[in-house]
Amino acid sequence: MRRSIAQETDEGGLIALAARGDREAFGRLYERYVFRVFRHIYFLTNNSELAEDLTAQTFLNALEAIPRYEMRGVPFLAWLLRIAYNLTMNHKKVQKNNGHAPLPDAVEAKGTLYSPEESCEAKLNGERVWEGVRKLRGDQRQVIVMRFIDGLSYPDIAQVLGKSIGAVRVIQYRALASLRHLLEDDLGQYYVKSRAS
Amino acid sequence: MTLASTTLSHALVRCLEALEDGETLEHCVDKYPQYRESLRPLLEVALALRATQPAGQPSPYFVIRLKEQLTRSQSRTAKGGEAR
Repeated sequence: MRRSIAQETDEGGLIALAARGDREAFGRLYERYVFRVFRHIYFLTNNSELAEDLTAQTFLNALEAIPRYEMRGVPFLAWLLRIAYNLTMNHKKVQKNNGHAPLPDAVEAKGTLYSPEESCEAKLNGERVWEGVRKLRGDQRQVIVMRFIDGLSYPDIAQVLGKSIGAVRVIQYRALASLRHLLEDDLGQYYVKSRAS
Repeated sequence: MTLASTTLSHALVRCLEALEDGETLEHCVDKYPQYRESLRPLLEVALALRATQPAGQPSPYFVIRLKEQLTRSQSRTAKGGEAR
C-alpha cells in the first residue's frame, strides 16, 4: 500500500514521493533544508539578496532534477549543496568576483568550547579567523565552509566537490595552515597578544 | 601533493575528530609527537572556527514566497505532463 505524506517522515520516503511529483513532500524537504542552503551560499557570497536568489535557483533546479536523484549514500543535503556550489561558482565566473568581500556583520558565538571568561576572547579570535576564511582560495574556502558550517563528512564533501577524500583532507590542512599564516601576518599583533595572555 | 602533507593532513583529521569527541588539544597532539609543532597552531585555528560562526538567515518573507513559487512550478509541471 502506498504511504501518504502524513505517514512519511524519513528522508528517503519524502524524496521518493517528491520524485513522483508530490508537492507536500518536496515542501517538507524544502522546509528542512532551506536555511542550511541559504546559510551556505550566504557565507560564500556575503550578500543576502544574492544568497536568496541563488537559494531559490538551487531549489528550482532541485525540483526539476529530483526524479533523477539516486540514493547511493549521498545525503540529500550534500546533493543540494552541490547544486548550490555549481550555481555559486557559475555566478562568480560571470561576475569575475574573487570573493574578497567583507564578512557578514553579525557573528554568533557558540560558546560551548570556552568558559564565560574566555568566550569574549574566543569570539574576537573567531571573527578574525572567519575574516581569514574569506581570503582563502576557492576550494579551501569551500572545504572549510562545508566542514565547519555545514557539518558535512569528508566523504560527502568529496562527493560535492568531485574530489577524493584524501584530496579533501589535504585541502583542509592547507586551508587551516593558510588561515594560521593570515592571522599571524595580517592580524598578528592582536592574535599574538591574545595567545600570550 | 607531498607525502608529508598527506600524512600530516591525516593526523589533523584524527585530531579534529578527537576534539569533537571532547578530547583536549594537548591530549590530541600528544598522540603525534612528530607533528606536535605543526598540528597545534592548526588545531587552535580549528577551535576558533568551531567556537564562532557567522550568522545568516533568509527573511521569513523570502522563505514563504519561495515555497509558493516552488508549488506553482510543480503545478505547471504536473499540468504540462497531463496535457502531453
